[in-house]
Amino acid sequence: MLKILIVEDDDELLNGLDIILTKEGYRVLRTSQGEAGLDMAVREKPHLIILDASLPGISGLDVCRELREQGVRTPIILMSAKAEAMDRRTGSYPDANAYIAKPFGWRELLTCVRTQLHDIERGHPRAKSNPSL
Amino acid sequence: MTTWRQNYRSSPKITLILLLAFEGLTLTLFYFEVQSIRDFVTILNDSHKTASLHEVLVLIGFTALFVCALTVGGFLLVRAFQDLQMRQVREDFMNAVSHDLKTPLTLMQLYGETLLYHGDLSEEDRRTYSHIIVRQSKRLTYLIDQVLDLSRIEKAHKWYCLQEGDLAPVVAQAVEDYGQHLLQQGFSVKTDIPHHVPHVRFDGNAVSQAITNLLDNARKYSPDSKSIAVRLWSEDDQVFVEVEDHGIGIPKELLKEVLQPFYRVNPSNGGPMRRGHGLGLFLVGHIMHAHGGNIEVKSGRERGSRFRLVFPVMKRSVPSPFSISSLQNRLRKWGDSWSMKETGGGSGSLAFRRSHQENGRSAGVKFASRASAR
Repeated sequence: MLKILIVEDDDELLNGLDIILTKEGYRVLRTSQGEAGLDMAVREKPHLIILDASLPGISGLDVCRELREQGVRTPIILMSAKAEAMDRRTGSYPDANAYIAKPFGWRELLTCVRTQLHDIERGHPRAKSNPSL
Repeated sequence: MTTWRQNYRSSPKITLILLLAFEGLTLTLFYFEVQSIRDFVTILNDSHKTASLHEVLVLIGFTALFVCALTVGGFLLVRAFQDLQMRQVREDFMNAVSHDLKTPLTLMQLYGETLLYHGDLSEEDRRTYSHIIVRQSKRLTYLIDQVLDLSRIEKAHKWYCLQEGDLAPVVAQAVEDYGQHLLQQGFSVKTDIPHHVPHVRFDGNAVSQAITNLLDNARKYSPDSKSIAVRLWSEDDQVFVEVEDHGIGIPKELLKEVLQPFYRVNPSNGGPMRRGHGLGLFLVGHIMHAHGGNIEVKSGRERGSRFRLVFPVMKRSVPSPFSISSLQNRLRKWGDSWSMKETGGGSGSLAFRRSHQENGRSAGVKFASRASAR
């Protein structure tokens, strides 16, 4: 079962994403703090990380940067409420693999998740051998 | 005092240009001032010369202009600094509001689409998802109301409809409504609310909002000890509503700050700043001020917080039924900017409106009453 780590400080959204992704057959790891997210990303080796950009304390952008600096190559989907399409075009989030703007729906979320997990879900040998690092 | 609204409208560029212009003027004046003083000292040192009236006046004139330019320059510098600060505060506020508005919208869209496109959901799942959508729509409404209230307060368009009544059912209902949300988050809410308390004059919606804000505040700042107590009682012509938590508390030196708009408490243990926009307690303070009451805060670092709303009990000094003309005379005597109009087509309903300045802001209070219009 593919593991997805969600780092989101809003409890209700965290629950919501957990319920929906679990229902879609993923194993969900969750935390509401950036520091714990960093730790879990390294320790649990998830196949995908969904990260809120504006976490209190250490922000999602910092978590993203820190993970890349540590050599973690797990695909990261960044969620943000304030950034616009312009930010995506101008590459404001170079460390993230994909970006999803709030508010988003079930279809957009799953499309984004499946796109990032495409290789692993199709059993790509490279993904199988070292899916998270 | 500069208000948030004024800063919002002011342009930092204009302030900066004015500041630079005054700095140039000040330097020029400083040059002439030095020249005048040098001339004057030369005259004083030369025993053969005496300072003429013209030379004394020039020196005094340049000194006065120099002092004026320094004062205006200092004022502009302070203003520019305040502008920069307020721009940052406003930006943070907009980011927080934007995030908080879009989060419930995301949940509504997520679950709405799930209900729409997932044909194989069980009845229980459908009910759960529908409940989440309803709860998030309430959350969204609450947040929009808070932001609109701030806007109304800044524009002095915030009105309260004060009516005489018993606070007990209003407090109980507000606690019950928000209590559901608290219970879901693992909080225990202990209540001590009697069936009746002496009548006070209040706006039911505003009081509910104040209690909800206090409960929300307690939830937000109680990461570990999830226990909240709500009490209602009367004593010495006052009715008290108290919300107590055992959370991170507020350092004593910051107790006054928490009622300011956009202010948020930093956790003392260096933990992350709580999500929020710093409006809740400010609105509670405004509501209590409009009710002729006040808000008392007792707290300490890591010792939890106790917020107490104090309502004055109604004193029946005004005879009832009373006439509109006698009330108009009373209003004139109070000397504040009161106005009164009869509403309800002669049914005896009166609307009172009062606007005044508080801390440099315009504020408004409105209350309605029923009287025998004679």
